[in-house]
Amino acid sequence: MSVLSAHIGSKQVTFLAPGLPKKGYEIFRFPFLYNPVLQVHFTDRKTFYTDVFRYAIKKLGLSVQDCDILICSDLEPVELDLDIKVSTPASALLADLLDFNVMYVNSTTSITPSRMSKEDILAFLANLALVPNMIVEKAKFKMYHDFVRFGSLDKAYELDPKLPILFCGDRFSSEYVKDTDMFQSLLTHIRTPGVFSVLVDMNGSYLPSLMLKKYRPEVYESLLSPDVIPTILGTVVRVDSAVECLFSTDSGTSQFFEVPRNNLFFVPLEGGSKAHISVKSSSLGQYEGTVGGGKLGFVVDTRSIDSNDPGIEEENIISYENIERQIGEALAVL
Amino acid sequence: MSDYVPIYKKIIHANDVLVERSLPNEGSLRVKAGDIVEAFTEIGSSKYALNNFLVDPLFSAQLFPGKTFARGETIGRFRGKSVDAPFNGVLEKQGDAFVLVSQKETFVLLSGVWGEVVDVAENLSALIKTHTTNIHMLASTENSVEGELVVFPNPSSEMQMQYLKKYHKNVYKKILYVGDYFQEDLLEKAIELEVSGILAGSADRELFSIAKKADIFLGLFSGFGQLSTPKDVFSTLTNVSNRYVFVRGIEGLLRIPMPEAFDDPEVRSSTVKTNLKLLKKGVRVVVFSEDHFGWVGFIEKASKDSIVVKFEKNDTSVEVPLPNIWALV
Repeated sequence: MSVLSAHIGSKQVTFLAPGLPKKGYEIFRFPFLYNPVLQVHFTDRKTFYTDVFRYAIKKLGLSVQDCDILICSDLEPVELDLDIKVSTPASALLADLLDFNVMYVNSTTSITPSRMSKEDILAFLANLALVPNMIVEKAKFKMYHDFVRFGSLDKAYELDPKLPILFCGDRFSSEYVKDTDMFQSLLTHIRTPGVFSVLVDMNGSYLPSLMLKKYRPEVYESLLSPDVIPTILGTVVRVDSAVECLFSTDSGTSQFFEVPRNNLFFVPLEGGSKAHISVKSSSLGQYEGTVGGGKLGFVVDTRSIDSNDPGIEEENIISYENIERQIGEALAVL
Repeated sequence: MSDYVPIYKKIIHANDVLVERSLPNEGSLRVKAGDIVEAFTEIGSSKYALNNFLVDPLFSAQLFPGKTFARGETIGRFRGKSVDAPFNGVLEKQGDAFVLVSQKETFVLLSGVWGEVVDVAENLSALIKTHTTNIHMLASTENSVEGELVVFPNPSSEMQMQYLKKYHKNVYKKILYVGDYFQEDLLEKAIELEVSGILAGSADRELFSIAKKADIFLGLFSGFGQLSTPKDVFSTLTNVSNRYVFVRGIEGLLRIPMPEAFDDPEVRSSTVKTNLKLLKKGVRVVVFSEDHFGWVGFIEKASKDSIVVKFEKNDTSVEVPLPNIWALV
């Protein structure tokens, strides 16, 4: 009997099919959800998801008659005209992750004043509410898209500096969002001063793999693969003041640098590499320790932590584009 | 990458739709189950007072049943201000309260649809099986209204107000399609003229709170902001101007009764169609992105790396990321 583990998020459905003959497993992301605004007049949620699961099963080379379906979902449980072996809320799986600061980013919530035309903002947000899985492309709207997300987390989200941060949720795992855009959003969500090791579930397979771990451990054991464990991004020093840093690698190279307030600074540090850092800032005090590298390397982020500060004004849009460019350059180096 | 996208049905032709036509109060029905009716078939009538006005018991006034008031005549005083009769009427005692009731008039109920009467509630309503073209609105208020549809010839927003004022003085309780986009002044004027509902391609989000407060229906075919009405929606509307239509806000549907049943096998089939469609060249789609929200076009190129849509509106081609495309059927 084959297994299909699926996560129904807020923007997409992610399928993980282990035990396939060629690659051993396959991940497939279907970037749509049932949308009552567009569909309630001719189809229902159950029929829609049954069609989506039938399509995924066929695409992944499985058989409807010979497939155990495991589902976790962000919102209410999904019903299918197919046999479901396990259905559980995503929150129940996340609650088991005690070794991480879990940042699960999905929802859109608040609205804040800006210099953009009120009609433009309201129309954009209202249209986004009509079609929530819409991918946002323009910088001025991306600012808003991310800013609205802060409302759900806000600065009240206190991170434990002793634990790594694990980012997951559809905001970070869409195949249609550029890495630079995703990392920009991710960095801006870290709002507690500290030095953090950061990981991200870039393809949405982490929750489906946790389903396997919990309900089909024998299948999970055979699955272990880099694609279904979160990507290590590296280390982020998060402060909202100027920083002095001495950065030394195992190979013996050292560099001293100062990062002024309201800046992002990237130092290339490959995954698997270590560096010793000595950091001094007014908001963090003195910090010394060994940190690891990753896809983004070593990052010092001195932007304001105040949730009202990122704003959506013209100068911040320029800044947003600069940050995306900086991240793009950092990714190109590693 | 997914090869399939969900389908979105904007215009649906439907046979065997049941529509209930009711008298406002008990009267007489002239149809029975099995009768064939047309839109202008008179199916019943009743005596009905179009207006009622509850007279607050705290009014300082000499009130008694049968007392008549002309429109504008003072009924009494309330908190130091005089209250005038809003219409010609006679006082009735209803429970403990006095109600000013306008003169009862004969209410004639027309079928409004083409079809067959399948059931009747004696002296009250008829259930008619009919055929409708349903157009989906992306956003609407939740109320339901019915009435004659008046279609403005897609004028510019400057022309809309002139059109409303000069050419459609008699828009009382009608449903107006006013164009691609309209503004608050037109809504205010429509409320003043007691229009039942306004349909358009788009409008600003804020107009919804005004519409809800005034209990006027508001329906948008394309979304919020300044967006055009899809061509096929506009051409469907222009073909049925002055027809009696039904709007179901909760489903976001404009139901237009049609004289003939649809002969299309897709309409007649009762089997459930799939909700997904293969993306390939030539497929008609609707795009939901910031700059082209609600725009309709055709897939010009669909490869693993890129999807290009050619818009009907201006023949331009634009690359669109996958989740922002739905197949239009």
